[in-house]
Amino acid sequence: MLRSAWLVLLYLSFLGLGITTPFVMTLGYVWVDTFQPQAVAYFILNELPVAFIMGAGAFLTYFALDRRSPPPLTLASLCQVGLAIWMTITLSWAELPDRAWVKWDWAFKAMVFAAFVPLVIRSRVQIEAFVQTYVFSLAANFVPFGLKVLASGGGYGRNLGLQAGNSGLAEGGYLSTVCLMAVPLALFLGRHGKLIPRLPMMHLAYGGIAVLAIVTAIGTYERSALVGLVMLGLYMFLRSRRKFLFALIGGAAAIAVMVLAAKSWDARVSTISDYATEGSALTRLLMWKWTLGFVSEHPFGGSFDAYGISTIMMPPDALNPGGYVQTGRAYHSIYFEVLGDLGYPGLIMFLLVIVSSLWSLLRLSRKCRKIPDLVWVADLSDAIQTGMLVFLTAGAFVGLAFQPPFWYFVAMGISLRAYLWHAERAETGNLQGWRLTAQRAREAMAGGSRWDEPTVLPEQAPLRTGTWRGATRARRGGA
Amino acid sequence: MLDLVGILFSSIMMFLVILRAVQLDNSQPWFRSPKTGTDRSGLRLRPEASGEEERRVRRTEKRRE
Repeated sequence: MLRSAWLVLLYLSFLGLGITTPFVMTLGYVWVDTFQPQAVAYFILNELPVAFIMGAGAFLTYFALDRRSPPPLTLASLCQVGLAIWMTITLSWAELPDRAWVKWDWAFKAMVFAAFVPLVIRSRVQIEAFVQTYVFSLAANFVPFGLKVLASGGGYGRNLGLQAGNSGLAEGGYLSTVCLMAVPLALFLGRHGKLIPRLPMMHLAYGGIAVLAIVTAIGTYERSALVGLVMLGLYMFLRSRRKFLFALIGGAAAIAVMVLAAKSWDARVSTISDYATEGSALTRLLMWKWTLGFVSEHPFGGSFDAYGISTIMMPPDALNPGGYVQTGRAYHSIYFEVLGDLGYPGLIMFLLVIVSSLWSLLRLSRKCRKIPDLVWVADLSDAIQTGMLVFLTAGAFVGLAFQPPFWYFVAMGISLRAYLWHAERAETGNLQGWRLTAQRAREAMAGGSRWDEPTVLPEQAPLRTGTWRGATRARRGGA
Repeated sequence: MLDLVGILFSSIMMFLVILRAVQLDNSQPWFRSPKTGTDRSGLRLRPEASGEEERRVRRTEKRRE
């Protein structure tokens, strides 16, 4: 009762603040999408289309009130929009149309909203608010989960989180992956956050959040979590500036996990090496083989949930000496999920999003590292890269390709890059290429002259012969 | 009980963040040109007003002549 009333109050606060400050509505959608109050509340919110209301509000308030400083177009944005269009087209040859429409409904929304985020999230304050909202929305799930694991231990298939069932954050593979993706973001906020008062222990508090996220991931007993954890440690080590200290802490943490973790955890993760005989891993391998065969005949994929028609022959075991047939097993891999559902065109666009995002984030990090004003950009860029790489490695064994978290990371990368683009041009008319041509055309049309004439920009007008030396001296602060 | 702790912790922190963000968003410029002094990594920053603008004006004047 109290919980539901509190969540209703929070939801209304997002709506109320969003009407005057449009980006808050987008944050509200991220909260609804990540925390899912409709799955946690007992009244009102579980009966309303809360995500639809918040999402529609975000679009409406942006287009009505807030269309300032749009980001430059990026390959990742184009591919996101391309994927949204392509996934809609594939519905026309869906193998299982009813199931395909159900998945399309949320996958399409995730893709479109992630492509929309960089339009709204532009300034440093907005970018940080987005990151904070995402981490705290997730923390509502993993803080209690992590505390329960510390108190009583976790377990494979044990649902210790807020949501019931076996989907979304209640599913171990998904929960562990998104928790590990949030770790570098929490550490970034502890170091650079400006929206929470800079109390002396604040970075330790964010460190505590990161620890609980890792404990949650371990507590799910998911093998993909171990793969993600290794990638997280490796990449953070590579990007760390204090490698010795990082190796020391990381090594101590790894030893603590090995000593303190229950034998059941050891038994579960040690099956990674038995992939050829262990049932779950072998099923994955056979499903991936089936997917390759399927797309060789259907290069445009079978639309969403095409795995429903799969049939794989399992080898003999003690219970089934003659082997047995399994049908409708999931892909258990983001790459095979995209390949099976959207075919080669979808996979190419998906890979382009990944490569272009990582490449631009690497360049961003290198570019900003030595500039004191932009160290936060470099660190956030590293955090986003790390989160994406965790997703790309852990996701190789879990089917999460269309879930929102990865697409939020892509959106954060685009927002960050757009921020730098705007910052470089702040207080200057430093346009080049087609943007300069477009600006000249706009100004020429306003002034009534031909657009292709060499135009004098408005700020140059007062600086004509005889005056520019004086004007320049005045700007330098001279007499 | 722990569930409620998690919800309250995250929502209070988030609410504080958003209130502060709304306050700062309305009171600060969105984009600030980073300081140029320490740029050793090839970042294209705001050109110094002297050389760049003078050259641009000279070019325009030459074209007009």
